[in-house]
Amino acid sequence: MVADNQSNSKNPDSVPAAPSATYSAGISPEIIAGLHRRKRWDRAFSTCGFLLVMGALSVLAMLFGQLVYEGGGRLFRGHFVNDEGFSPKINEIAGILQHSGDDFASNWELAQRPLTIANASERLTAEELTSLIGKKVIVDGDVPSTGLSEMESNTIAASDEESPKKYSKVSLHGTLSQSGGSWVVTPSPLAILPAEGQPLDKSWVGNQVAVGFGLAKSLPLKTKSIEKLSFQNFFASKPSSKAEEAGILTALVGSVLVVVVTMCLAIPLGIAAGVWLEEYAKKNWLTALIEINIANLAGVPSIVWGLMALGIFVYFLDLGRSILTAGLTLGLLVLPIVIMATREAIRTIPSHIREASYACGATKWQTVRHHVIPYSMGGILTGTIIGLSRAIGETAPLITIGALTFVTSLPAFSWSNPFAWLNSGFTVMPIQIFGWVSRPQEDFRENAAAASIVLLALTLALNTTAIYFRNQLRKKIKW
Amino acid sequence: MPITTSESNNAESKKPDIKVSGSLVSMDPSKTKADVQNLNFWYGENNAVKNLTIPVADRKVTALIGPSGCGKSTFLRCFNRMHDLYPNTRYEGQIILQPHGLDLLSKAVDPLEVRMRVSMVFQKPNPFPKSIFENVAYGLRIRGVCDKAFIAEKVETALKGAALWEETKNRLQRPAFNLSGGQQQRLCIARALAVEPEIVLFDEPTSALDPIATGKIEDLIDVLKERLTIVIVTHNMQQASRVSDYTAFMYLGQLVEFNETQKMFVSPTNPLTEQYITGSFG
Ligand SMILES: Nc1ncnc2c1ncn2[C@@H]1O[C@H](COP(=O)(O)OP(=O)(O)OP(=O)(O)O)[C@@H](O)[C@H]1O
Ligand SMILES: [Mg+2]
Repeated sequence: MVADNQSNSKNPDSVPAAPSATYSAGISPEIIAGLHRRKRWDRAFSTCGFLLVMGALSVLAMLFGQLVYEGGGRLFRGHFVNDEGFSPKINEIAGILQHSGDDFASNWELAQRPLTIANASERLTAEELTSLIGKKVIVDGDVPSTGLSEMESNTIAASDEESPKKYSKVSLHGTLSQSGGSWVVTPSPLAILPAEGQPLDKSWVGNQVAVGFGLAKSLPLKTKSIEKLSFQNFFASKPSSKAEEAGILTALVGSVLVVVVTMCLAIPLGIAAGVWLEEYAKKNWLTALIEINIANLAGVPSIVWGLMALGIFVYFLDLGRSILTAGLTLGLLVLPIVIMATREAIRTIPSHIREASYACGATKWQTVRHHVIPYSMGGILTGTIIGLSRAIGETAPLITIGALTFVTSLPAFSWSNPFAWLNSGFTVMPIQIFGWVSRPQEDFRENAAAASIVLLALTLALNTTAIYFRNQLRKKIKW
Repeated sequence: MPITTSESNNAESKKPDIKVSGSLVSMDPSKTKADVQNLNFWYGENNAVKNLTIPVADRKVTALIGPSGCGKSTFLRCFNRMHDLYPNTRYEGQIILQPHGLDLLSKAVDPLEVRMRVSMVFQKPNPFPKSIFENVAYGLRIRGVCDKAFIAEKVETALKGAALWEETKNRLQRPAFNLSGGQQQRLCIARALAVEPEIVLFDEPTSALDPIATGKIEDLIDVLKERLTIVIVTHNMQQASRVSDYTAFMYLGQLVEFNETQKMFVSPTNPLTEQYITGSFG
C-alpha cells in the first residue's frame, strides 16, 4: 500500500496528491474549502483520464496480442520445395537423407519428421499410452501428405519388430513419445536403395530430400528419384491452395512495386503543386477554391477513387488491370495528402527567412530551391510517408480496378524492357489478406493474421523512417 | 489609452495642424545617392507613406525616427522594393538612384536589380539555417559565381567588414544559428556587404541586442559609411544622434522634419519634433 502511494507520487501523470497541502494560518477556512472544491475536478478528471488511457491501451494490447498469437508462429514456419519451387508430390516421401559406412551403393536411409497423433487418447488409455513411451509402435491410419504434421489414427499398438520390413501408406512404424501434452510418433528411418544411374554423393547426407518410389513396398524401398529440397518460409512462398504452403511473396512484391509507382507520381507532383500554390499562385477566389477542394479530395472515399480510376485508366486509357494502373490510382489518392503536407510545412517557414533571401537578390525560384523546399523537407517527408502508409493499406480501390487475389508469378523483369513489370497483373498485401480471410478453411486465418503482422510492421517501419528523417532534418534547422 | 485616441483623432481630422516643415537641407544634387520624390505608398487602401520627399546623402548615414506605426519600415522597404513580394501594395512617386538617375520604383525596373544594389539588414537577426560561410556566400552564389577561391575571398572580406572575422574564422562551416544574437546580426550585415551594394538599409538593427552588441554595430556603421550610403530606422534617439549625419522625423506617414542630425537634435524647428526627441510622446 505504502509502496503504491510512493510510486504514484513520483509519477507526475498520475493522480495529484490529495489536498493535504499546508496553508498559512491567516487564510480563512472558507477559502481553503473553496480550494478543495476546485481541486476536486482536477482529481476527478485526472483519475478518469488515467483510467481511460490505460483502458484503451489494454484493449490495444489485447488486439495486437490476439493477432500475434494467431499469426506469429506462421511467420517462422515454412515448407520444403524442390528446385522448381514445388512441394513434394503425393507419391513422394520427404525426409532427411542419412547414410552409414563407405559403400555409397547401399546403406541409405530416410528419416521422416515426427508426427503428432491427433486422437491418440481416444484409441488407448493414458496408462496404456504411457507404458508405450519410448517403445516401437505401429500406428494405423492414413499417413498425411508431406507438409502436414498431424495424423489421425485407427489403432496404436506396440510393434514387435525392431525395424520395419515394409513400407505402407496406411501405417506408420515409429517410436512413441510425449511432448507438450500431445503424443508424437517419430517414424523409424526407412531403408532406401537409390535407383541405378541416380548418383548420390555425401554432400546430400543430412539434407531434406523427396524420394519418389514405385509400387514395391518391401524395404529397402527402391527409389525412382531423389530430389534435394530446400526450406521456403512464409515470405518467399507464392500463394497456394494449401494454407501451410501459401506465402506472401507475390503480394509483398506487388505492394512494393505499386507503392514505388505511387511515390514516383505523388511525391514530385505533390511537392510541385504545394510549392506552386503556396509560393507562386496569386491569392484569389480561384486558388481559394482549389485550396478548399484539395482538402475535400483528401477526404474522398477510396472506393470512389477506384471507380474513377477504373473509368479513366482501365477503360479509357486502356492501361489494363496492371501495376501501373494501381500505382496511378493510389498516387491520385495520396496526392492531396502530399500537397497539404507540403503547404503546411511551407507555412512554418517564417516570412523573415524568405525576405532575407529576396533581399539578397534571389529570384523566386532560387528562394524556393535554396530555402523553401529544404527547410520544409522534414514536414513534407512526414506527410508523404503517412500518405504512403495509407496507400500500402488501401484495398477498396485496387479491388475496383481489378487486382487479383491469386497471383502465382512475379512480374517479369528483363534488362531489355526494364519497365515491362508495369503492365503485369498484381496482388497486394491487403488483398491477399482479404483473400485468405474469405476462404472457408480455418488454416488460412493463420496466414491472414501473419500477413497482417507483416503489413503492420511495414507501416510501422515507414512511419519510423519518417520520424527519424524529420528529427534529423529538424536538428539542422532553427530560426 | 484615451489620450492616444484623441491625439490620433486630432491628427487625422485636422491634418493641416501638423505643420510639416519638410526638408530644411538644400543638398547639392551631386552629393545625393538617392532622391525620394513625392513618395506615396499604399497597403490596399491604407496610405502608409504620404508624399515623402527626402534626399539621401551619398556615403552618409540617414536616420529615420518617429513613433511606432508612423511608416518608417514601410518607407525603408520601398528602397529595395520589398513590398513587391506582397499583393495589394502600390507605390507612387520616385526614388531616383544617383548618379545614373535610375528610378527604383519604376515598373520597368527589375526589383531583382534594385535588390542587388540595395541590401537590407532586418530588425530581427535572420540568418539562413545554413553554415556561416554559406550565409555570407549566398548573395554571390545566386548571382551565379562559382569560383571557390573568389567566393572565399569575398566572404572573408565581408566578415572582416562586419567585424566578425576574428570570431568566426575557425568555425565557418558551423551552423549560423549557433552564434549569439549580436553575432548573428553582424553576420546578416556581412551577408548584405558581400555583394558590394551601393546602399544598405537597416531596420532597427539593434533593437533585439544588448548594449555591447549594439555598440559594436554602431561602430561598424561608422566605418561602413566611408564606402556606403546607409539608411537606418531607429527608436533610440541616442543612437540616431550618435551614428547619423541626417535625420528624418516622420509622423503618421508624413515627413515632419528633415535636417542635419546635429541641428535637428539641438534646435528642432517643429514643436512635434521637439516633443518626440525629448521623449514627451511616442
Ligand atoms: N502588411 C501590412 N498591411 C497593411 N498595413 C500595414 C502592413 N504593415 C504595416 N502596415 C501599417 O502601416 C503603417 C506603418 O507601419 P510600419 O511598420 O511602417 O511602421 P513603423 O514606423 O516601422 O513602426 P515600428 O516603429 O513599430 O516598426 C502602420 O499603420 C501599420 O499598421
Ligand atoms: Mg518598423
